[in-house]
Amino acid sequence: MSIIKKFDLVTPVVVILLLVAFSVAMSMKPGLLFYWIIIFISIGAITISVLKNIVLFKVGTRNISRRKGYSVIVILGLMIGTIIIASSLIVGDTMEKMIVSLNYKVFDEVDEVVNGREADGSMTYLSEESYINLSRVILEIPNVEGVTGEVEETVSIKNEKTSQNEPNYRLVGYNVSSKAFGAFYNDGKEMPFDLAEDEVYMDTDSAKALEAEAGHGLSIITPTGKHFLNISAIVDTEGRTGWAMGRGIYMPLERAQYYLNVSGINIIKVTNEGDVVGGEEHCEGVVKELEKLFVEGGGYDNLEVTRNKAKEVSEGREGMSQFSDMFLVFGSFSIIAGVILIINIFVMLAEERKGEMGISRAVGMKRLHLGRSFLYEGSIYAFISAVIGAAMGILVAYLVILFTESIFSSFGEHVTFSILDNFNFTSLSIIQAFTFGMLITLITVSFASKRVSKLNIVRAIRNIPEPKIPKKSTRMLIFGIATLVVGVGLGVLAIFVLNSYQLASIYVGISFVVLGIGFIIRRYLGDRWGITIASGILLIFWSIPGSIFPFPDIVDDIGGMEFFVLSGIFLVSSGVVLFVYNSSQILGVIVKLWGLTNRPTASLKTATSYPMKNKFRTGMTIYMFALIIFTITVMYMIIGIMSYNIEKTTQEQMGGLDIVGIANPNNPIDNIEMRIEENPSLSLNDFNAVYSITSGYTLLNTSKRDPGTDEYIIVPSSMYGFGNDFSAKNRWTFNIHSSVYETEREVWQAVFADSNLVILDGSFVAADEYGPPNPATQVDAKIGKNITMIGTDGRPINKTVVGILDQFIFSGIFMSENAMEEEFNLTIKGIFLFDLVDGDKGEELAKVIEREFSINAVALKTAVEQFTNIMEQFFNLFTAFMSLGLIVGIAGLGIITLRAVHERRQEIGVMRSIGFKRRHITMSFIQESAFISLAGIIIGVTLGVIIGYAIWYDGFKVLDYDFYIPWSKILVVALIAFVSTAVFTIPPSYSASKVEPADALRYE
Amino acid sequence: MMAIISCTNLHKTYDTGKVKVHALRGLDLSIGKGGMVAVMGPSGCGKTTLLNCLSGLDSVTEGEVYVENMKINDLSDNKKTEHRAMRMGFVFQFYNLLPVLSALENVELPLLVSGVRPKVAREKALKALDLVGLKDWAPHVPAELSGGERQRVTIARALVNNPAIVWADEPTGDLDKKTSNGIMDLMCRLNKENKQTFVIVTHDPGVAARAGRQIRMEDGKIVKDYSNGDDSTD
Ligand SMILES: Nc1ncnc2c1ncn2[C@@H]1O[C@H](COP(=O)(O)OP(=O)(O)OP(=O)(O)O)[C@@H](O)[C@H]1O
Ligand SMILES: [Mg+2]
Repeated sequence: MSIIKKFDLVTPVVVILLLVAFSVAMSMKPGLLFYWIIIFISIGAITISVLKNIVLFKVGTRNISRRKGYSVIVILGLMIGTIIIASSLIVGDTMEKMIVSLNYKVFDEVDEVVNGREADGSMTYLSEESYINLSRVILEIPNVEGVTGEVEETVSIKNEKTSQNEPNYRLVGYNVSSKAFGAFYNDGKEMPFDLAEDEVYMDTDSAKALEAEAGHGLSIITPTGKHFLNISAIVDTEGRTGWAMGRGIYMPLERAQYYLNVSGINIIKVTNEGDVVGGEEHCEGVVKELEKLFVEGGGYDNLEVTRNKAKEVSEGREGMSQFSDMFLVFGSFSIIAGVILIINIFVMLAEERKGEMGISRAVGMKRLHLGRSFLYEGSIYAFISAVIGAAMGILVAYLVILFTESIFSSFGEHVTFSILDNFNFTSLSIIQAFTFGMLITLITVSFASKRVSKLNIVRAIRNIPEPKIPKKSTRMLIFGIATLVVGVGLGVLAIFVLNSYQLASIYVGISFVVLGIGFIIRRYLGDRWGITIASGILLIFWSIPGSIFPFPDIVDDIGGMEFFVLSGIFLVSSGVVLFVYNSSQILGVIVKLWGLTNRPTASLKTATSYPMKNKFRTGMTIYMFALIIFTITVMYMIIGIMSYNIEKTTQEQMGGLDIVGIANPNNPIDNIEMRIEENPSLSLNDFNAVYSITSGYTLLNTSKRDPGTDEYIIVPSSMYGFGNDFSAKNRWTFNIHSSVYETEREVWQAVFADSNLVILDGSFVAADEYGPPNPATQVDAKIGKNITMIGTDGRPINKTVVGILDQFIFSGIFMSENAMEEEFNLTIKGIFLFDLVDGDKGEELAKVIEREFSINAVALKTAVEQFTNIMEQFFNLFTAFMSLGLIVGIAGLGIITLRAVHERRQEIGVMRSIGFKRRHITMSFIQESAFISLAGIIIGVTLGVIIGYAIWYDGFKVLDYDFYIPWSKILVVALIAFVSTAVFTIPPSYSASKVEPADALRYE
Repeated sequence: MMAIISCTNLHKTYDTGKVKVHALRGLDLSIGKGGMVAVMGPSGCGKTTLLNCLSGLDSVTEGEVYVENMKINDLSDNKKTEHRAMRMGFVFQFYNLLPVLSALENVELPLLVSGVRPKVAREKALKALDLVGLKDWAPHVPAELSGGERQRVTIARALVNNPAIVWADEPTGDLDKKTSNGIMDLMCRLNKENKQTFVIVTHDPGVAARAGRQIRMEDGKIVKDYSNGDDSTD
């Protein structure tokens, strides 16, 4: 009994219980009974404590209903954390559901896919006989339910009725007796497998692209020429045709073999026992057995398992969880802002009630009683806001998903899935968010109540501010030394113990050491110096790009998201503290500069001096603003640098090319310039140049050995053969070329003339650390050295590298078209490059070319714009999400202004009675909040730009990206933030002017 | 006669960081049980400070304070608080009632926090309100009461736990003559009937005249101590 009287156990017990509940909710997916038991105990603990202290409960709860508007703002502020957690988790739930259902749609009944590729890149065909033998063996594998062999090739398809064409669609030949792999459906009705001789099925997605209907006539171009077919029915893109998401026509195997002039099959699909979802669990075992069949010497060593449902589903899940993690990372800044708002609110509540609390203490309330009544009040706020927050989280998540859907739909007609349709949330996510929301509020409240209960009765009753800790306090010295020791400990821990999070730990360790030194300095030189020195050093330390420091091997961590959050917190805290403690000096300079032209007005003076009197409150509010603006600025910096450089480098990379065309190999175009000239819809005058490139596919010997077999690893690579025209006129630039040649043109001409020479794309420069992942990274390519390709007959072909290009969009080996013909017997022109007179006509001409020549034509400018546009849209999405945090900041400032007006009623009365006009009063309050938000915005933007520079330095510089600051966007956000705070602080400021002097002076 | 309150060489210095204010400069005082003492003096002379130090609300810089034979400046915060809740009543100069609680609930508060059963507490509170003539105002919150009524609720609260000592800092400060007289009548009656000790700070010579003992302070010291024999009321 006496112990319970001494310590308030309720708060810690409830917090600990909730912590346990939270971790239970995070880790235990099924059986949440334990969770509910804990929640029940927590509620019970609070209830018992309430019943024992009903009068305290009354004081606490009546304070909520006392000023309803105020309580609403408090709840809004408290909700933010829960909303962010809930919506991030729900976005994750939805993405997961989408990716899983997408995977099931693609695979349907299929669980594993087996095929192989030849050296020239074509599909490996298996004769009827060996397929039958193989399928018998596969059927013996436990849990395998069925096997089917199919033919699948790309063909050019044209709808004769509507003249729409698609140069690279699939022709699928299926086995008419393979029902285990699903059926064809027309509006849900099952369709027969047998089709008349010239009939095909087409899936709904393809029908959309080709504007096709049942009964339309099609022409397809295959290696055997042009064939005419009829659409028997349009079938749903699911079940059988869900495979690879449609995009094709379907006919019985024999017919497909006939049109393609092939025998045997080129793709084997395996289905496990169980339905679409159930089959997944056998994947691991079946794949293991299949792989045993395809080992070297087993007769099928040219085959491999290329698709595995279970693996792709789980990889998809993982990928999507990164998406929600990203929301959590960005959201965590808003959560921090929300927590600060909570602290601010409760500290202000305490300040406001100081007098009452002093009385309560005087008439016999103990410290713990005071803390409790605060806790009860806080618990009610916490509960209400967690409930509403979790519900609002669903709404916010829905909006996020809606927005994402619109971003994806800008991918164009090729997107056939809907995220919105998969909108989904699990009870687990809601529970997690709710518990988390309760937890952060309660922890904050219990800290605030601790602070509250410490108040000095006499000072409280007389309304005198609490004195500062005296400068010479040894407590500060001890605290400083302790911090220093913790910092050193963290550093040591990082170096000797931790494997991951090393860098973060070292950074935090060093920061603690700096803080410790700051406290020690503060002990001797006072507040301002200690704080200024420590925060100044921290600011510089966290601003410096990490890659400058000699931390071996772990620098990669710098890119980590957790690290970003850490650096944000440290940077913004030091920035704000530095500002708050030096504001009078900073303001002095500003006022002085101002004073040269204009005398500072009286209201401006009060506007800055009041906030600086209450450093804690002001600092916290500035911090909320600075943190959110910082995050948004950093986002804009990243997106700005990326889109600026992607546009720039694509232009550079493409060397003036505007359109790239890729033809179906079955439908080559011989003399494209002549075809353009002949075509009435096109004119050669629009083109500076048109290049036809021979394309092919080869295997490349690397300098690395397979550790198992000790043989050199072989990687696939593309090849391009160019003609005289291209070598004479192209504007691609070299990263490096053989010093034998003086100019880049000479290199091109030499390679065209000499079949033994080749040029490689830019990815071969990229050593092994940076750049896009590429087979090139495994090939040791040097100017003047040979590379070894493998010919179609298996014979090695050596060529000397004389240059490496800057561009890596076309990645592979470049040689003369003659060399391609001599060594690989390739003559088909598959790639067309167009250099336009007017680059802006790219998109328009690409469409005409695609229609007229049945090739895929892409306008590069549009493609890049589309890509950067999508990227930008995603960042807009995050910005919208971040604006939740901004609302926190604005709400915070609103509360503070409201409070300031309330606090200063008497002063306002005096000011009014000595002749201040209403306008002056309003202005001084508006200027005051403008000062706070402006300070936050300036600190946030400045630090955001600085960290943007560090990110560029650490991550983008090696890619040869230019540093770029998207000022216009940053300024727009800053302006919006500034104006909206003004809008929200005008009403309370205006209400200040309405204070009647007589009333105010009588007010107690 | 036994002293219920006594202090020797009492010093109180406020350190605001910039200046030091010597609010009490070596005070010796002894108040007998059942006394009624009025403390007077110019504004800022240290009257409120003296009350705070004697009642244990504030710490002392130097000297000793005994209340009911306990050295109050040695007690822990919780002990002091319990003592306040059970043995003392307060009427402050400013801020007095909790605005969220009704008059009745305000009066009950000291009883409830010191562990009196709710039912008993309610009865006692109603009785105390009745005593100050505000029984009908029990459910009203302070905002609905006049200044004088509020002060009477405060007195009801100060008396509800049947305290040994009542500390009153200008209890009649804001009130008109008639109300002020009524309150003084009440205090004098309680002092007589219950032998409760009253320490009243006041600027009103009329109020002071009704106390059995008048102390005059100047500059943190007692400059005049006039007693009419026993300390209780006339
Ligand atoms: N917390 C404090 N910090 C600093 N100085 C204080 C504090 N409390 C009181 N003082 C100072 O101590 C002196 C005595 O104050 P006190 O309130 O005791 O005066 P008082 O006699 O009650 O005056 P009044 O009649 O006006 O209420 C005054 O000069 C006052 O300014
Ligand atoms: Mg006083």
